[in-house]
Amino acid sequence: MPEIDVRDARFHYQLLGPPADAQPENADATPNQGRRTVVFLHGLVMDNLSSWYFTLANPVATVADVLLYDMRGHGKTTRTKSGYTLTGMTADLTGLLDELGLQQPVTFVGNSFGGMLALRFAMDHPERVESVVLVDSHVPHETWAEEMQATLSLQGEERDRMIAVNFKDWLGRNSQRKSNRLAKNAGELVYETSLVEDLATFSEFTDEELANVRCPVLGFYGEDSDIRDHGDRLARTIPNFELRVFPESTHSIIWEKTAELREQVLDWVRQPLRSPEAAPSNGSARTLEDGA
Amino acid sequence: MDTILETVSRLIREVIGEDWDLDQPITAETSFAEDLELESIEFVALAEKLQGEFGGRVDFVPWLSNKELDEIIKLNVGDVVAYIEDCLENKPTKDEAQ
Repeated sequence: MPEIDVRDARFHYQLLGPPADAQPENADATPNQGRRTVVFLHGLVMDNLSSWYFTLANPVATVADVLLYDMRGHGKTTRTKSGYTLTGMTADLTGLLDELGLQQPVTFVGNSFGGMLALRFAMDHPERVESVVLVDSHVPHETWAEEMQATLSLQGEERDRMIAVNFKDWLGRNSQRKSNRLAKNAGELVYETSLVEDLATFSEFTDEELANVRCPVLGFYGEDSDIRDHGDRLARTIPNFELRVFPESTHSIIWEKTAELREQVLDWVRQPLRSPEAAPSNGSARTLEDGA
Repeated sequence: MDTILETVSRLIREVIGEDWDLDQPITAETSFAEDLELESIEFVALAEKLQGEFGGRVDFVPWLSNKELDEIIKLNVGDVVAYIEDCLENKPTKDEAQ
C-alpha cells in the first residue's frame, strides 16, 4: 500500500494514470506539453479515497494523472489525536504534493469538505492551482463551524441514524461487519480526536477572499442539497465561477448522479491545460436538464 | 506456482487481515460485497496489491473506468481472475519490474 510520511501522519495515497507512454490528449494544445494532474479530495468523517476511486478517479485516470489520498484520520491514514484544523489539513495537502514532487499547478476535484479544502488551498497557493471542481462543497460562513459541530457531536441513536444516512459505502448494504467497523472508525474520529473541537477554528471564507480566487472554478450543487446556497454564494463572489445545478439531487451528487458528474468532469479535464494566471471572466450560472 | 485464483484469494486474506472470520473457501463465485463484505477501501488495497503482484502487467484503470457503480458492486472473484488472465494473455512478455 503506497504510504508517505507528511508532518506527523502517514498518509495512504494512490496514483493512477494513463500508461507512461501514452500521449496526452491535449498535447498539441498545451504550451508546456505537460500532462494534467488531478487531485481528488474526499469528504469529512464518513468518507475516504474509495468514493472517488469507484466513481470518477479511474475514468479521469484514462486522460490525466490522478492522485487520491486518505486525509488525516480517514481511511488508511493515521488517525492522529489532533491536527484537524483547516490550516493543519491544508498543510497536510501542501506537504503531500511537495513530497510527491507535484510542483506544477494541479486541478482539484473536491467533494463536500474536500471542496472546501481545495478552495482554501487555491486562496493560499494560487500559483499551484490550475482549476477547481467542487461537488456540493461547504463554504464556511459565520455560523458554519457551530452547525457542523452540532451534527458531529450527536450521540447514541441519533448518531447511528446520521451514520446510516451518510453511509454510502459501495458495499455497505446489510453488512454487520462493515457497519460495525464504520461506526467504530467514525466514532473514534469524532470522540477520540480533536476533530470536532478543531472545527471551531475553521474561519469563515470572506467575500473578499473568494473574490481573489483567480483560477476557473466549476461548482456542482444538488437542487435539493441542504447547502445549495453555498453554491449561490460562490457564484456571487468568485469571478471565474460556473455553477451547475443537478435537478433531483441532494448533497450526495457523487452517488446520485455518478454518470452525469463523470461525463462533465471528464469534459473539464480534457480541456487544454490552463495557466494559473488566466484572467478572470464573468461568472455564470445555469441549471442542468436531466441527462445533460 | 499458484493459480491466479489462489493468488487473488491469498491477497484478499491479507487485505482483510485480522478481521478474517470466514470458514468457507474463496471460489470464483464468491462475491466481494455479499460474501466477503469487503469494504470499498479494502477493494482499493486489493487492486493495488494485485497490480504489484503481477508487476505492472495488470492495470485496473481501463477496466474499472468502464464499469458503472452497480456493476462494481456485483463483482465476484471470478470476474477479477478473468480480467487478470486477459491482461496476462495480452501482455505476456512485458517487463515485470515495476
